[in-house]
Amino acid sequence: MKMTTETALLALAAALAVGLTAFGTAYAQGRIGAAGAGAIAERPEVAPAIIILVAIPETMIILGFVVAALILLVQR
Amino acid sequence: MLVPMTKLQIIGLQPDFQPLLATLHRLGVLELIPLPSFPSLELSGIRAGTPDRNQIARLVELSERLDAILALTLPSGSATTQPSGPGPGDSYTQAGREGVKSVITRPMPENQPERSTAELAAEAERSLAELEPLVQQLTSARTALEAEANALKDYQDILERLLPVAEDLLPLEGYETIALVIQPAFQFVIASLRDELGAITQRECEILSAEAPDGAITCLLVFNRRFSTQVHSLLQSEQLSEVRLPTAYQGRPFREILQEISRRRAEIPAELDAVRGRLDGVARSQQAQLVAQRAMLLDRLDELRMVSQCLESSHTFALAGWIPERDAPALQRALHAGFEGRVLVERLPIGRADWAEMPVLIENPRVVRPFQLLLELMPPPRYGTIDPTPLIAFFFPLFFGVILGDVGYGLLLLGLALWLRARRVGPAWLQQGAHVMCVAALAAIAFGLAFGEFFGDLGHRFGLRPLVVDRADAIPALLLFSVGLGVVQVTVGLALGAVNGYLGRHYKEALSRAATLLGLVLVLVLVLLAVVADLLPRSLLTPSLVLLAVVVALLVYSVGILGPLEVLGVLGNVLSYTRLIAVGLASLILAQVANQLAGLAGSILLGAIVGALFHGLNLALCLFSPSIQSLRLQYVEFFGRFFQPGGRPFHPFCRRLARATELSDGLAQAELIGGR
Repeated sequence: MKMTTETALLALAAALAVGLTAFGTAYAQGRIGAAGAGAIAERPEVAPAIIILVAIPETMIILGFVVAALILLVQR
Repeated sequence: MLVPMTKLQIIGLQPDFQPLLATLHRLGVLELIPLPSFPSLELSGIRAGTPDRNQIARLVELSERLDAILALTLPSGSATTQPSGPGPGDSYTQAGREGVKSVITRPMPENQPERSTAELAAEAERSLAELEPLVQQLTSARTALEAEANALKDYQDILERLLPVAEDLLPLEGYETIALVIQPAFQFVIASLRDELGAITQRECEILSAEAPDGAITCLLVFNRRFSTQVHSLLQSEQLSEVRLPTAYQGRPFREILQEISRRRAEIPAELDAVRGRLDGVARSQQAQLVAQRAMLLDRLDELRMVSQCLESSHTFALAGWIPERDAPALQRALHAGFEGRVLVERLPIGRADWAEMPVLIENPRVVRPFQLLLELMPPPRYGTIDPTPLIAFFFPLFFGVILGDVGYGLLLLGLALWLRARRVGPAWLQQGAHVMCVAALAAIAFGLAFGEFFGDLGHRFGLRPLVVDRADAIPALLLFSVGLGVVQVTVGLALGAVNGYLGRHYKEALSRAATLLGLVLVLVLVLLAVVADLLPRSLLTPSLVLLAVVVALLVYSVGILGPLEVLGVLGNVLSYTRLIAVGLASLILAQVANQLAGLAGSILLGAIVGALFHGLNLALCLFSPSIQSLRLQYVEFFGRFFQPGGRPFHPFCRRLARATELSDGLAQAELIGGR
């Protein structure tokens, strides 16, 4: 694949789309996970609900993935 | 589906009050509603029922004593019975439950008369009088032996440390010896102790010390007996604790004491085993009876306490409750026949205002029923709304299959699920989960065939080809497919939301759901396809935009100024379904990495081990991640459009024991029943 400035910028854009959303997801999951662990310690029956809550911020990285896929795939 | 409920009112004569409560308790189909008393009723002599507090207090005391005996007959460290209480969550230990089941030998005659509260209490008293002294004596003996064994072990440790020091000591007439164990951190105390002891005893003393393997210092203080009081005061003021031997060992040589302790320690396990054996014997022969009696007492307590939820006068009583509509005629017939027409059972009219208080009972066909487990993670739906269980039963395995999409992993999960089902042990939720996993694994196998995957690309090496599409080469098409799945599920959710709003007469909510749905269709199908993809005639663009404006107006009217954002939220929800492909691709790539690493290992054995390790890791992730992602799509994207939580689960007034009687040999026959 021939690397041009345009291709490099597109690759950088795709990397940023995934990387930044991954950072946001990780930050949110960390906060939710910490709070969730405290909640589970006091009320173990809420564990399934907490697991679902932890999965909620993953929408960000999924959307980042979609954007990255569009950036990389649409240019072909 | 949510089972239709109806409200019954039962009125009868005062002598039938307690027998009727007992009958309702035995039948276990009615959830009693507390009937409030008010002044005008009280003026006419009708008041809230007054429970017999003396009987309640006596039964509570007896059930607590039975609890205590049951806890004592269980092996130390095992789970004990829960405190007695009338709540529906009250249960017995697994041991007790199995014990009760194990003594069921024949069904009880149906016409067995109910025993009175006094008879129940007297039976419990008899059992307690027989067992309490014996169990307490045996448990005291067990505790004493366990304590003695622990204490002797400590003495032995200390004496073994002191022995090297003490053996150098000659017996001195008129001198006293005290042993001390000083922890390493407090070694500095020894020097000051030596000075102070010398000052008190005018140098008629000696301190011998030796270091134990754990670093602790063992000391022997030898001093003239004349200064005993002052020396003991000094040790107390320095907070140094002496090693005090049991009286039987005092004044004897250390070596002799050690021999005696070793001999006694060797005897204790046999004595302990004997005591435990007797306790186990008592538990085996009596625990089932005690558990059954405790359950009967708690059942009777429930009945006595339930009186306060009813209304009574000097001659009559009245109570009301919720019952599944299909059970109402049978209950009416049973009460009419059982009380020979002396009780009046009638249905009360139900309005929509009652729906908020109506309990919720969910029942589904057998195939779908295990999927109710997934609904139990949420509060139950409100009465009068839609039960989403059948929809979850369709969408959850579908999404799981799309994410996992691998024949090999699917077969392993199917095997695991079938093994769990075949074992038929463990809690009910595990069996339900195994059923759900079976269906999900079958979907994974089906999509695995469609994608041509068997442990990633391993199947390709054996000639397995995709029936539909190769996931690794068709990412854009699969992303569109996942968005399509999202459109379908969100559309269904919005339609159900509109129906729920209509059924509950929340017309604005119904309108907002319908308008959002219309907006989604317009944006996606007409505007996007017409303009972007040029698939529809451009002449449709203008009417589409006009319709979109109408939708925006409807949303502003039904939801408010932020209403149009609903459509954007729905679009975000739809895009969220691309996770089906994203997470699935991650799983595929991990499987391919496992295959490549196994190929690089150099030898077949090492390759197999590396491959098994990585595929094992991927399998664990495959069990967890697709389940979580699929559930999340149900709960957030799907349920968010229509599900109305806040329902109250149906808790019928139901006995712990369906039947209980005593045989001539004194064993209780009991059959535990589970609540609905």
